[in-house]
Amino acid sequence: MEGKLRLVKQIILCFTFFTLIHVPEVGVARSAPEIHLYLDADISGAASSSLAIEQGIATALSEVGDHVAEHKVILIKKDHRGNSRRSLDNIKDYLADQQGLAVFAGLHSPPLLDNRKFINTQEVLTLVPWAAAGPITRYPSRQNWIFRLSVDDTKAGRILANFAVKQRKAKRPALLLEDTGWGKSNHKTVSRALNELGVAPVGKYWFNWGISEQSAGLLLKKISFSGADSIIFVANAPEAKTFILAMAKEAPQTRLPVYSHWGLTGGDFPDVVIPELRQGIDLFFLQTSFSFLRRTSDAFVLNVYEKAKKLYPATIREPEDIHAPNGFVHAYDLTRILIAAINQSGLTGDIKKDRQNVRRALEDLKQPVRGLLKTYQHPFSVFDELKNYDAHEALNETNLTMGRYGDSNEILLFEPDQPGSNAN
Amino acid sequence: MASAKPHRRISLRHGITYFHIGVAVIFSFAILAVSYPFLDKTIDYFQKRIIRHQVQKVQGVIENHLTLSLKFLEDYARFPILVQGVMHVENLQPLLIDFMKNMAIAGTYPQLVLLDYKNRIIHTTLETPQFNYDQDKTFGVLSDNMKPNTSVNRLDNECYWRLAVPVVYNGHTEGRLVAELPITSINTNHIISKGLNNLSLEFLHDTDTCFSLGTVSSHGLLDYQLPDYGLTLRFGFDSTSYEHERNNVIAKLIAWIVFIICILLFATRKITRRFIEQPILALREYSTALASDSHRPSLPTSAIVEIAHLANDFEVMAGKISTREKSLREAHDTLEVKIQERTKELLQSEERLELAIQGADLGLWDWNIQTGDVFFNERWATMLGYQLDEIEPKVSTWEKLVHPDDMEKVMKTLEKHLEGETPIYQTEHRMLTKAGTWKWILDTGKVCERDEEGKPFRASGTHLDIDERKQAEEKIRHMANHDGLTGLPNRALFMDRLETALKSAHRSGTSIAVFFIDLDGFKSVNDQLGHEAGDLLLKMVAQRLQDCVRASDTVGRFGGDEFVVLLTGIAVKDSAKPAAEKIIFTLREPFVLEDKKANIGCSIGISTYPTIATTPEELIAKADNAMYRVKNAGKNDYSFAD
Repeated sequence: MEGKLRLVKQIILCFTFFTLIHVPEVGVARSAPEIHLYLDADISGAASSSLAIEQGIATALSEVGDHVAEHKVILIKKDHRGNSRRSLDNIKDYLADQQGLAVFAGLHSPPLLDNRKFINTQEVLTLVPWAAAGPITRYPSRQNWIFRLSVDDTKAGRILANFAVKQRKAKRPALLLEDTGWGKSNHKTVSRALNELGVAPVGKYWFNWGISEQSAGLLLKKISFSGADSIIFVANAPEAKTFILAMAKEAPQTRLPVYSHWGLTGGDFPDVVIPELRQGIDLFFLQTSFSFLRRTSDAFVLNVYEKAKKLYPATIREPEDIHAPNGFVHAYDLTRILIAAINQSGLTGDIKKDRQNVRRALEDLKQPVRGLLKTYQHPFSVFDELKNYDAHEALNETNLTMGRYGDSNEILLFEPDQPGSNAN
Repeated sequence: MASAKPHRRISLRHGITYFHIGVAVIFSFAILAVSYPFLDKTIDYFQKRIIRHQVQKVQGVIENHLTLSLKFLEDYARFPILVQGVMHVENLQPLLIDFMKNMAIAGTYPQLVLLDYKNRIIHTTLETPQFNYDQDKTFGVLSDNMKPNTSVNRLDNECYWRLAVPVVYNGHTEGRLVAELPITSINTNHIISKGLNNLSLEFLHDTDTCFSLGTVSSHGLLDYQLPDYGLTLRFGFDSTSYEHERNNVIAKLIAWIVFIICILLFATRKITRRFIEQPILALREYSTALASDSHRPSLPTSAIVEIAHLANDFEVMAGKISTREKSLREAHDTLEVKIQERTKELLQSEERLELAIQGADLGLWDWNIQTGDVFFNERWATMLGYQLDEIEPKVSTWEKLVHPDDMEKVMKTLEKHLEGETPIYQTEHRMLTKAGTWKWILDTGKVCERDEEGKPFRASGTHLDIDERKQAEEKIRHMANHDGLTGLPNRALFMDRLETALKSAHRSGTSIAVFFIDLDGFKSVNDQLGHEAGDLLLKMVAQRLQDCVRASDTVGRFGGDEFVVLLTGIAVKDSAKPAAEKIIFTLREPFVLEDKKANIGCSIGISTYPTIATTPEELIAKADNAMYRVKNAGKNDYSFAD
């Protein structure tokens, strides 16, 4: 089989070689068949997250010369602005594309949640480097098409609760969550985790997308009056900005420490909520436990950083310039895994077949894949709602930690021994 | 000049008033005449104004309604549930549906539709969604920063206001909330109560009627587009209101014209009074005051440049006039003084002249040659024995009185002077006195005025009575030519007459005879009777000789007892014989000399012309010789010379 395939490939190569000589202009196009990777993210609304994801993908692809299985890999970006309907249309575009192999999703969970059924029934090979909602990867079918290498809210809630209670000694945390599927899934996990830790939240507060600063301020006052000593906060960047800006306007003594899900890092949060505004606010947020800012002598890590720097000389000069480092790290690792899977499965040219082949390869990677966060041994497997709930989750709780913004908008990961960790 | 009619005069104020009235009348007629053909257009204009007014009202009502509705809708569009509605595909909770069901707009529950970013319906409260928003190109694709949009749409013969507001998430338009309000949802009562009486109003969409208010009329239809809504408002008038409107417009038009003309008249009246009438009246007062010379008035001021200049010129002119008047008066005064002086001098001169004339005893004449009138003075008349009032002061008076014999000479002299040949006219001539006698006058005169062509115009002169001088002169001349004893021409005169007679005879071819007579026996008489008797005898001889010849013949005395006789116009030599014999006979007769008698005789020598002699001296000498022969031959006889 393989011999035959190689023969076919050689024939094709010869053919392309001759056509190159005779019909150069056509030959260029046919020199290497393309596969298209889609990035369907909120490019305009959560710019830094989508940029970081794009950079991560591009850096990983550049390591293989943008060619996988003798196919040129093209990244096509689609902006869904956090709108599930746009995302759905983008996915339909992908489906119509005979070279569209996989879709990288962005920061937002709702599009994935809203379109989960469609994605799985229409066999859209979806890779999630950021969106955190628990149900995303738990489509109740063995034919699960969504793979995640990111925070999983089912674990995130526990991390947040642990951090609040164990690290920051919170006794009466309040829950402040967006009124979406994502928020609700977090509510469940956080509540459960707090319950396990023996702490009952003093209240849970829901808000909708696009909440005004006044409403946010009112909500914060309510929380403050409720006697809470901290806030466990689940929001995306737009609403996170609104709340933290509203909080900055409150009297300092009424400001409560905020332990946030990482959604707020997706947009231009640090640019809007500038260091001066953040000064009096004790804000920590969820991060995966890798940072370029950590001193390291790991040649692999340094190599990746150098590659990225070379690829984006205008934007990346320092490690701090990767504003949403999670997005970069997750996308990079995920792309490396994808490349490994493609290489393992090979490409037939029949896109439907190839998608299925790659999906299967992802669930059954033969070789370990070195990433920034870790070396992935069998990162994914076949999903089973009861037996293998985390089958499509590449990360586990040990890969998660908390971080905060430094003075140059860089993200500093929480170290138990670092100063300020004992605040409160 | 004679045909020039007197100018009708009018005051400036009245003139301007009449002018204004005239202009107003013409203006009114002109406006009426010009505007009448446009009356219908004007009515249209006013109707359009009314309709525009109505349109504004209706538009106001519509805008109020739509603005209010849009405001409701925009508020709803910010509700998170709606925001999430346009963002999520499957999470459209029953909550959202309930929410949309309960969305009220200004007290009504309109049909509401939530659209996604591609205008696809997410949820609608319409029972059956007939609108295909994503197919409707006019509805447009979504864009950020899009504004709320209003249009009119038709569905199942019903028109709807379609209000669409963007639903925005994170600065991006992600969908739209649309309200379909029945077009009748606007407060029609409000429109009608706002004065839609007499008007009908139809709402048209794509030429189809949506609904109408008032009784739809076909009269004076006017459409008004509301492009923002794709709607046409069609207004109509009913015919009675149209007529009413028309009359109303005409009345308004006339009122306006009258008003405008009044304003114009008032304004122009003010302006003309201020800028023309008042300055001119002031000028007039000023000039009157100047003319009356009573006092020097103050110069009127005016804003009009020309009038100000005029006033200024008046001022200058008045100054000049007064200067001239002053110098004129001075000149006049000087002249007056001079005239008085001259008059005085003249009077004195006249007096002197009068005195001189009186002294010189001159008669004066002053002749107007053109008219023939002559001024004579008293003396002129009295010189001829008349009173001044007795003579007619004409040149003919003078002509009648001049002696006819002198007339020719006088006229010649006069003509010569009048023609400028002589510097002065002077004649001596005789004039007839009242007493019928002739008087010698020295007439002297001079032309004292001539006209431009040099013709004499006036002459004057004097008459001097030279009669006495003339008589004296006659006497002297007589004495020089006549014998003092007998009064007969003496030798000089006789010789003169003889010469004249010779010339005459020569011309006429006649003959002359000269007698040289010497008295015989006179010496003895003179010696015997004395010289006195001799002189008497001589006188008597002279008398008898004169009696013997014709009056035309001349008798002369050469001295002593020698006498000569000149006979003119005789035929032949022998014609003298009877005369000689008569003289001899007569002188033989005795002379009685104072009681004494004396007898004398005479010897006569005769010479004749042209037979004997041709010169006077020769005639005398030959006759003398012939007389001597008679003497020698016996006396008392006569003899012809040889």
